This record gives sequence, C-alpha cells and structure tokens, in this order.
Amino acid sequence: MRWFARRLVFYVFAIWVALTLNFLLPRLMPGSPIAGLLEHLSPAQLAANPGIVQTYEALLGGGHHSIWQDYVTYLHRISHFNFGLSTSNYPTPVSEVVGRTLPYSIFLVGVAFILSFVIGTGVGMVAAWRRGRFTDSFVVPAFMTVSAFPAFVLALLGLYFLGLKAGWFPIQHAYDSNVIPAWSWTFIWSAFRHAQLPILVIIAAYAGGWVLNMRTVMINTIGEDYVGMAHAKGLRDRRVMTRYAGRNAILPPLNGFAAQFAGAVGGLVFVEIIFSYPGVGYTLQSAVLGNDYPLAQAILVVLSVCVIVANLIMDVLNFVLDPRLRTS
Amino acid sequence: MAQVDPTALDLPLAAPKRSIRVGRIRVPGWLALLLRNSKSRTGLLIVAFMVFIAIIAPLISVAHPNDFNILATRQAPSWHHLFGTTDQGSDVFSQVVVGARRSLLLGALAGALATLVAAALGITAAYVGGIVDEVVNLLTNVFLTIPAIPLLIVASGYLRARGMWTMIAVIALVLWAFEARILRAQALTLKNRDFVLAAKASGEPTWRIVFGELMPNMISRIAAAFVLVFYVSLLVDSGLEFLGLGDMSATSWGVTIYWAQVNSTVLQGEWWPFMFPSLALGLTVLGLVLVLAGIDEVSNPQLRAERTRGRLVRLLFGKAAA
Amino acid sequence: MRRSIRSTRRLAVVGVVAGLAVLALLGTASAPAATNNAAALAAAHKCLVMTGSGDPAFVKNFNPYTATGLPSGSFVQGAFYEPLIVIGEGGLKPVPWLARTWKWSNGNKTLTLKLAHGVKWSDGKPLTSLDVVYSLTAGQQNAAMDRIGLTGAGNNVQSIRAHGAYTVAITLKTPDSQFIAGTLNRQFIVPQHIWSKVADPATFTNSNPVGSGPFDKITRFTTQDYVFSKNPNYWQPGLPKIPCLEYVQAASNDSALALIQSGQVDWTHNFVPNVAQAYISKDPKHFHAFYATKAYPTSLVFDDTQYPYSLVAFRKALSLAIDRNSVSKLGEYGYGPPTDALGLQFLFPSSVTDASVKAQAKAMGTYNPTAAKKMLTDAGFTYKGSNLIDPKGNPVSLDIHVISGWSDWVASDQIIAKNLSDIGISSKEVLEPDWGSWQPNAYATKNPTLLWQNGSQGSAYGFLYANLSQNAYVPSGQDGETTGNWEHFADPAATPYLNQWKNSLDPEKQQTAATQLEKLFLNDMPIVPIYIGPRWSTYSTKYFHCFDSPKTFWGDPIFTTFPDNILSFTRICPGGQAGA
Repeated sequence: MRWFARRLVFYVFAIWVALTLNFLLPRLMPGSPIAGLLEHLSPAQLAANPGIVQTYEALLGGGHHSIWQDYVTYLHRISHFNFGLSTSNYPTPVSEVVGRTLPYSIFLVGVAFILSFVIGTGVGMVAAWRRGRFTDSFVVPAFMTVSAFPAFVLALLGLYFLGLKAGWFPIQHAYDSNVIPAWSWTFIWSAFRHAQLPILVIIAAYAGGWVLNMRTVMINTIGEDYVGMAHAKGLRDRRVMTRYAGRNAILPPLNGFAAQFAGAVGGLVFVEIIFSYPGVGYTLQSAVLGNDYPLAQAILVVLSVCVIVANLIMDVLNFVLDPRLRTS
Repeated sequence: MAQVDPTALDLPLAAPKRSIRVGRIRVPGWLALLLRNSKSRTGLLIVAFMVFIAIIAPLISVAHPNDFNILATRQAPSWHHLFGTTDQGSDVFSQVVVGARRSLLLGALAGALATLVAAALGITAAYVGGIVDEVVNLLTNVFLTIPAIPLLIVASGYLRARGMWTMIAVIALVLWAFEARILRAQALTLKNRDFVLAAKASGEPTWRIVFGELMPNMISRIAAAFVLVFYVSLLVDSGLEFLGLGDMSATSWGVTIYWAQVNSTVLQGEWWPFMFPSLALGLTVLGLVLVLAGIDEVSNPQLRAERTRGRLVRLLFGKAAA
Repeated sequence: MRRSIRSTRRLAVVGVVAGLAVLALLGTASAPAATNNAAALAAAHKCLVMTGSGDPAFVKNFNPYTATGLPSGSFVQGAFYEPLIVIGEGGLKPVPWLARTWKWSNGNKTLTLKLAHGVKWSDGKPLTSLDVVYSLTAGQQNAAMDRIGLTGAGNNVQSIRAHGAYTVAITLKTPDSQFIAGTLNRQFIVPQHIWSKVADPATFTNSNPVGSGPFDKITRFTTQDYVFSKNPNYWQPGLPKIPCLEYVQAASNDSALALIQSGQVDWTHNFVPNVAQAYISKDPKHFHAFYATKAYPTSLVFDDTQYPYSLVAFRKALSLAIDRNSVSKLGEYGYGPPTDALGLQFLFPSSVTDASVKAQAKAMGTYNPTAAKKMLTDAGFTYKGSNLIDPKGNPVSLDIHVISGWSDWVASDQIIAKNLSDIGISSKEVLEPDWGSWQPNAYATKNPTLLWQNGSQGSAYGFLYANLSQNAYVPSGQDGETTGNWEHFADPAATPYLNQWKNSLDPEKQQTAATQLEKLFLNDMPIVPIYIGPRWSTYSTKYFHCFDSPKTFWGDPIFTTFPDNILSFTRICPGGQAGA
C-alpha cells in the first residue's frame, strides 16, 4: 500500500510540474496573443476589416504584474478549474472549449490505444511462441514497416485511399452533420462510423511498438524454467502460452505504458487535424497557431492529466497482476 | 511512431571485442556483430544508403532545390524529374536528397544531445545516489508523463525563431527522459562492480568515474539509446514541420510534406511531392528500428537463438511436448 | 489455480472482444455513407452548405461587433443583421435595403433616409428609426460598437436624428461624397431594446441573436456545424429563397477541398491551387470557381522616406523591372491578373478615362528591365560588375518579407526578388514564421513587403486618398493601418483635388479631380501595384443556383463580406442546375 501512496504523491507532483512548465513556457518567449488572433485572417479578410487591430487591442490589452504574483494567481485559478478565456474563441471560457472537445478525444485515443495494445501484445505473443512461422515472419515485419511511418502520413494515406477513393469511411468530423449529439442510436452509430478510420490509423501507427516489445519479452520468458515446467506437466500449448508465458511477459511492457500512451496522445493531434475531428488535439494545434495561450496551456495540462490517469489505471492493473507488488 | 520500449532492451554490459578481421579490412567488433545479424544488417544498409545520399546530395540535385520554374510545374515523375515537380515547379528529387541532409542531421544531433543529457544525468544519479538520484528519477518520470508531442507543439508555437539549433535543443530537452530511466537502471547494477569500487577507492573524482569508468562500459546500451532517440527525433521533427511549426524556410522532408499538404496535392492526385519524402522518412525510421532490433538480438542470446525453444523443449521433454 | 483459470478466460475474452472490435471497424466499412439516389441526396441537402478552412471547433459566439475573427461573428452580419443601403464592392449601383430611399440636402451635408415599413425584429418588436439611430451612435455606448468612426479623431458626423418612426437624418460637418459608399455601407442595424442593455459588448456572445434579416434562428449548433434557418416573417416577401444556411467546420485546406470535391459543401472561399483540376474537373457541369478580380491591387510597398526608396526614379525603375505576368501566372496560379502601374483598372475601370493616363500607366507597368536599368543610370545609379550601386556609392539591396504559410505570396515574392536581382539589386525573400513576426514590421514598412490596400472600396477616391493625401500621411516607422498609407508618403499637390472630389456630388467634377490625382500617382509612384488579389469563390450548382458570378455580378462573392453577402443570401435559389 505504501507503494501505492508513493505513486499518488508522485502523480500530484507531476501535475504540479506540468502546471508550472505551462506557466513558464509562454513567459520565456516573445509574441503577443493579439497578433495570434489576426493570424487567422487571410489578406483578403484583413483588407475587408480595417481597424481590426485596434478592436482586438481594446479587447485584450491588460496590465502587468510581477511574475510571482502572476504565478500565485495562476495556481489559484487553476485549482478552481478556471483556465480563463480562450482568446481565439473570445470570450468563451477555455473550460467550455475543452469540455466540448475532450470527450471525443478520450473516446478516440482510449479505444484506439486499448485496441493497439491488445492487438500488439497478442501478435507479439504469438510471434514469439511460434518463432519463424507465419506471424513471426510476415505479420511482425508488416507491423514494423507500417509503424515506421509517421501518423500523419498514414492518416493522409487512409483519408485518400480508404476514405475518398474507396468511399468506405467518412473522412471528416466526429458524426454526421445532420445528427445532434445525444444518447441515441443514430448518434452512436454515426459517431462510431466517423471514428473508424482515425482509430485504424492510430492502431497502424502504434501497434508495431507493442508487437516488438511483447515479442522480445515473451521470448525471454519462454526460456524460463516455469514455462518448461508447464509443458512438462502436459498442459496444452495454448494454455502455456497465455497463462504462463504471456501473463508474465506482459508486465515489463506495461511498465512502459506511460511513454507509449503519451506517444499515442501525440499521434492523436495529427489524426484529429487530418480528419477534422473536433477533439483537443486539433484544438491544440489551432490554439498554438493562433497564439491562444490560455487554451493551449489548458489542453497541455488536461492531456498530462489524462496520461497520469491512464498510468494510475495501469498501476492498479499492475498491482492486481503482479504479486510481488502486493507482498512488498 | 512506433517506440520500441527501452525497458525491453537488456544489453550486455561489457563492450564487445575490439575488432575483427574480415578479409583484409579491419571491422570494429560492434559493427561485425551487427553485420552478422540479418535485421541490423538490413537496417544499417538502409541508414548508410540514406546518409550516403545526404552526403552526395549537392552532386545529384539542382543547386537551389526550392527554386521555382514556371515551365515545369506539377509534373509527374519522369526521367527529367525523377520524383516529379511541385506546384511551383521545384524538383522534388532535389528537395528529398537535399532535405535528407537537414532531416538526418537534425535527428542525429537531437538524438545525440538527448542521449548525452540522459547518460550524464542517469548515470551520475545512479552512481551518486541519495537525493540527487531521487531528484533525477522524479524529473525523469515527470517528463515521461507529459506527452512529448503536445509539449513540443506548445513550446515551438511560442518560439519566434525556429532555426535548426533551437529545434535540436527543444527536441532534445523533451526527449531525454526516454533514455535516462534505462541508463540509470543499468548504471545501478554496475555501480557495485569491482572496477568501479576500485576506482572509487583510489580516490578518483566522481566525474572521472562516471565518464571514465561507467560510460565506456555501457557504451552499447548508450548506442541503442541513441538509435532510439534518433528516430523518435526524426519523426517528431517532421511532425512539427508538418504542422507548420518548424523552420519552414529550410529544405527538409517534413517541409516538403508540409507544402505538399498546403497545396492539397494528394487530393488532386499528385502523389509525388507527398509520397517521396514520406517514403524516405519511413524507410530511414524502419532502418533505425531494424538496427535497434538487431542490437537487441545480438545482445540477447535468447532472441538470437532461433527456434531454441523448440529444440530445448524437445531435448528435455521429448517430442510430445513440442 | 482458480484465479489463473479466470485470468486465462479474461485474456481469451479480451482477445475475442478485440477481434470483434477490429471486425466491426472493418466490417461496416462498405456500408454506404449515403445513398446513391440523386433525389434522396437533394432532399437531404436542404441547406446551402458553406465552409472555411482551419476553423477551430465552433463555440456559440454570434457577436457581430467583436467575433469578427470567427466565421459565426462575420456572416451573422448579413444573415441576421441588415444594412441600410448595399453598395457592392467596386462602387456598384446602390441597392436600397432597410433604407428604401435617401436624399442629400443642406448643401450636401444632410442625408435623409426613409426606412422600410413593417420590418420586425425576430422577437416580434418593430424595427424603427430609433433602432437605426441607436445602431449608428452605438459607438458612444461602447467604442467596439462604432462602425462609422464616430469616436475616431477624424469624425465628420455632426448629428444623427430620428424624425418619426421611419425617417433618419444624418448631418455631416462638411460635405462628403464618399459617405454612403465608404462609411454607411459598413453599418448594420441592431435592436436597441437588446443591445442597449448589454453591459459589456466585448464579452457578450449573443448566443440567441435577435435580428431583422433573412435568417432568424439558429436551429442547430454543434462543435462541427451550425444552421441558420429562414425567417418566415421576413419583410421582403418571397425572400430568402433558400430554407437555411449551414456552416461546417474544416480543419485544413485538405479537408475543405475534400468537402467541396464530394459536393457536400456548396460554397467556399479557400484558395484552391489548380482549381480547374482540383475542383471543377470533378463535376464540370456543377462545380464552378469565380475568382472575382474586382479588387484593389496587391502592391510592393516600402518606406518612401528612406534612401533610396525616396528617389522617384528608383521606384519607377522597380515597377519596370518586375515581370507582373510571371508573378500572376506562377505565384498566383493565374487567378490574380497583373495590373498596370496605377492598379485601378479592375476595381474602378470607369474612373480612369484619360487616354494619356491609361497609356502611361500601361507603359510604366510593362516588364522592361533594359528601360529600368537605363532609368537608374540616368538617375545617377552605377553598376559595379552586375551589382547596382546607388548615387551615394552603396550597393542596393531589397529583401522582401513574407509569412511562410502564405504560399501564393511566397511564390510571388520569389519571382519579384529574382526580377530585381536581374537588374543588379541584391534581393532575396525573407520568410517569417507567422503573423506576429511579420505584421509589425510590414505594417510600418520597416522592410519591403507585399501589401493589400486599406482604403475605402466605394470609389477610387479611397485608393488615391490613402496613397497621396496629407491627411492620410503616417510618419515613417509608424503603423500605416489606420489610413492605409503604408509607404509614408504624401503629395501636397493632391490636396485640392481630393477636396474637390470629396465635396462634390457631380460625377464630372469628380472625374476631373480623379484624372489629376491619377497623374500625380504615376508621377510619384509611391507604391508599386503588381497584381489583383482576387476574391476567391468556389460554388456548386448541384443543389442551388443563382450564385454571384461574372454574368450576374452584384459585389464581393465572399459570404463573410458585409453588406455584399446579404445579396447572395437573398438571391441564391434552391434547385440544382447545370451551368453557372
């Protein structure tokens, strides 16, 4: 239990560091949020709106305090979940923008990540168990090759070939535009259809890592005495693979969960942009390109918290799966 | 963006034999080992090819790969333009080969810097122990929970000048934690070995022990770390460029892909300005992943011995079990 | 033992579930997204669908004063809020709107507007002269609501009064022939009973706009699209012809292009490279691109107070040295036609009547590097090898700054830089990462750059005023945005002609002034007009027709340009039609 308490303390600390980093980043760099607002406008729009700079300055001009004062105010505000107003969606609160977009991202990355984990470790397990056979010689290299491409390349290829050319999948948005988000079957079906291609892309980009890791660890595990022992007992091959070797082999890759999940969250940004998926990843990019500090900061914090929560879940799972942790 | 998780890589601590003779050429031991493994051999060949192309780039490309040519816009690949031309008539082949220079250099340097930071921090922490170790460990773990790409997007969004060195520094600062954890764990197992204790007893300063004793003995592990961070940097950098958050006036794979996307070339059926740099990027990453997998196999007897299990099991328990 | 059996089962269950999930992902892939039946498609495609590119996820903000950076705040002007009079871009014939007739009196200082009768706000209250007076003077309540420069330093408005429920009189301090086209044109009318109660217009999101326009309800709003539905009680019977406007989100150029290629979106204003192949060729009968060239020129600007830009001969030589045809064809994909040295021939062709001015403008804007070199050497410039040396003995350099993401400008600048290098100027293009690093220096012309015109588009007066008037003059180093005097230049000789034009409503008097001003412009060459920045519009006649097109031109075809957009919103008609 002490182990668990230590983890919790660590997570709180990690959130604090993320918050502080967030606070410091924009203050270390030059640039003004007003300029960012204007960047969204094309030359034609700017020409059509003379005086727009003054309008924005009137809206956003603010006083200056010392950095420590700012920091205290900042922490105080964040602790009340007050992230301020989004400058690119002025005057909508950041929390509202994030609240509207986060559920879609969690759905997308959650499903895609769990699937790529299950598929990746499954393939890795089988490949290690039947070395040199079909899975090992063909499926593993295929996964490796596909995963060597950046997520945005895979996403664009998927959009073009599977979405536009073949017409199998919708290519934009989280649901059909004539559907109102609600707990209805129409909406769920529509959301499911629109999530298919993004999820497939994330799986293609990230399952390869799991495959390689699982295969390596599994091969090591297979050499262990207890696996040979299980065989000696005359247990069925598949049972030995899953119950003895697989169950133990899965622990080390689970420890790399943080890095993997954080990586997948990164890929989410690209996938959302390419599929116009209204999630936080896409919102993050537009916030950054529009110098919308409050929004970009809040999203980074929220994504960090997501990774931390995912880690927490993994810790619990680890705790259940690994007897050593419980006895120590 | 597959990441081979570093935890899975258990590498030998001792450096391999100094060199091996192949015919009349002396081949360094580590290279010979890697060349004997089919995976790393393929990987090394791919990477070497890319590096070779990058080196001879000025010889096989036009002088200014970003120059426009009104008479040759949007041409499909042909003998005249091997990889076709862009919307403005720039030669894609030239952009890809010249872009290889910057992409590879940036990835390698960012990888090297991140590895250096990771090695210095991780190994020192492990050796010194105590509060230093606690702090470094904490910092490493914190960095692992903040998603790297969103952090980089936000950081480079704030940057005004996004020159090569800035991007290298930013990427390295975000990615060092990947390896620091592993190198620290590795160093922990080393720190009580005789040669370290002997050096300590003879009164050598900490930095000498870290850099002079521990590091050379972990060189293969550090090399693997470098390969990993190298290709992650490549992917991350091209990703930032794809989002328009890199140095957009440079010539690199990510920048060519960015312009291909800005000009909506793929949707117009002009696949070449997008596919060729993407292929170059994917191939390089695949090469590095193969090298890494090879290092893994070379250093891990279990992985190396193909079908060992089958034979062993049969030997011990007879045919029925296999 | 029990436990591990369960965990085996769990593993098996997980495996099966994952397998099923993957099957589901792939298995439903071929389920058609929509039926192929054309009639059913048309029935489902009720609203006129529009999109932009790079829009953030939508938030409910329909404030027409402050949310102008968002599409929602832009075309709520025109859809919900109406203008008094519509003068389409380029000084087209005025179209009466809420003001049905108007008359100048009191020595051309008082403008009396007669308003339409029976106009109702969407909450049922009547729209009267009080609302119009309120809207015109709202700047006094909050500067953000000032549309006619009431709070600015150069305010020319004496008083605005209501006479009865349907008459409004605006009295100016001095006569201003540009008042309707240049000032009143931007004004939209909002309900006094709503807006006078808004404490802070800057933070008011106006999530349920009350307007008098052709659309009056937001019937759907999600992060990725929203719908404006038709006003059933609209005061102009039979209008609008379409049941609803829909705006959908597109994250990037690619997603916007995919949306128009598939016919899901009817109307956009994104820059589409190679529009003929990328868009029109996908359905030549229905897909159209109208790149309106009724616009001011995009010009090369620099600080005219700095040496050697202060030399007229140098500026004129630059004009001769730039190959405008190449810039237009390559940089702008042929969509933005090259201009002459004056740059008015597309937006205001009728304002250039003098034959000698026409000939001179043409000659001065025709690519001729030899003549450019001769002009320079005649003015005391010399050549050291192939490098140009100014009369003071320094090599001449001219680096053009541009934002790296503006692909057409980047391409154009590259050609210009090459042209200038050809006459010995050390010239290259400098890419800035974004607006923030480009804009301050560009707006103050601390470095040479391409820029658009900021003057009023009601008549050519706006252009000549911005570039020649002493009143518009912006000192060197300052931001030229307020008046559009980017180049920090004024010609005192222009003042009497500008006054003559402004004070007179007589077209003939205006024209004599115009000709004189045009001559002065060509004499001074304060900026170098290069090409027309077209007003992009792609539209599909698959489900709707009667779009703004070259044949039926009624103003700017862009749906966020007020007040021109209200003409499109009310004139576009339902039903597909082959051809424009």
